[in-house]
Amino acid sequence: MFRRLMRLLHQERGSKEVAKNRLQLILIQDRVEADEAIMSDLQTKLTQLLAEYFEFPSDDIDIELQRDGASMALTANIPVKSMKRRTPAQQ
Amino acid sequence: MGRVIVLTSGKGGVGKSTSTANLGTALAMLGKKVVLVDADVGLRNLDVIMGLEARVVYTSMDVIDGTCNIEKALVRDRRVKSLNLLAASQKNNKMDILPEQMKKICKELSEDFDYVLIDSPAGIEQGFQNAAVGAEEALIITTPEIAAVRDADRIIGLLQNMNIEKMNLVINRLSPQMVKAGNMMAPQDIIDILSIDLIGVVPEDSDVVVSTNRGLPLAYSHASYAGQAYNRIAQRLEGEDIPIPEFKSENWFGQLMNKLAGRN
Repeated sequence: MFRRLMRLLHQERGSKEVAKNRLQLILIQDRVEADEAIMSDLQTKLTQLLAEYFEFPSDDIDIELQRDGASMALTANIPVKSMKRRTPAQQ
Repeated sequence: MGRVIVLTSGKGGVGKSTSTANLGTALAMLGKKVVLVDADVGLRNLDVIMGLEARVVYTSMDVIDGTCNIEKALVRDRRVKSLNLLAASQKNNKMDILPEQMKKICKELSEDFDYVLIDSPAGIEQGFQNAAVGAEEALIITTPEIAAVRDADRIIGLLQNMNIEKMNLVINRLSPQMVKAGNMMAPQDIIDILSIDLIGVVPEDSDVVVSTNRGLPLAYSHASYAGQAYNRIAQRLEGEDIPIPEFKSENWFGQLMNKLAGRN
């Protein structure tokens, strides 16, 4: 009886939580893939924002959605050429 | 002008045709004039589920190529008088019907009927496009499974692109015991993910198989849980405020007690 109790207590949480988490990650990827405009729009806006602070080769911005185990990460790789002398905060 | 509603899911086998047959029956029993349109050209099923297969003479294809008018192509249900079926052609395929032609059929039917329910084929290709093109609203059918909900999400995106804004979700084949045990997504989990309005939950019910065998939609009698659920969805479509029964998982203590007692 005691062993059975311990085994139950150590059992994984209900499988529905696993399903829900997996589904949420799958849908992030699906929605981004289904609409190419999302990533290119993000890229344009990010470029505009960053241009206020840095100088960089603008066509060199690389944004990616990556699955990392049980989570999803948005990574941007942006080679910076130089920092602007006057940023919006100082103006 | 009646309401033109497409029943769709993306994934196959989640109960689109069963839901179309049952909701149509339930709405007709409320006194509404209903026509069911089988849009699954080449793989028609709705006639069989309705038990009307022996009486199909003409199909939507005959209406399109002018063999008969739409009135003549309809099969009238014998049990529920205001219920009608427009069958799909079995010898043609989905590419033989153009979106414009389907749109015209829907428009014509909506002039004479309170409800035009379109049973969409699975998939997101031309057959689905044809089924949705003449509709103003949609019922998304899904089951509490990861693959079905994923496909439902895709379908919702596609319908939005087709400017169908009014969408409601039907969760089919839910097992209350499994939800209770935390082993099946609860309606709230699915709504959180899809963020559309829920209009009903149909429990898993073995009577569905029996009713399909007999060609007699469950909604016709109030004896089964699934039949009752479809009748309530019909009433909600009619604007009645009927609360949806709650299904949720028990807390860890309840789950533990259930497991100790050997349930699920």
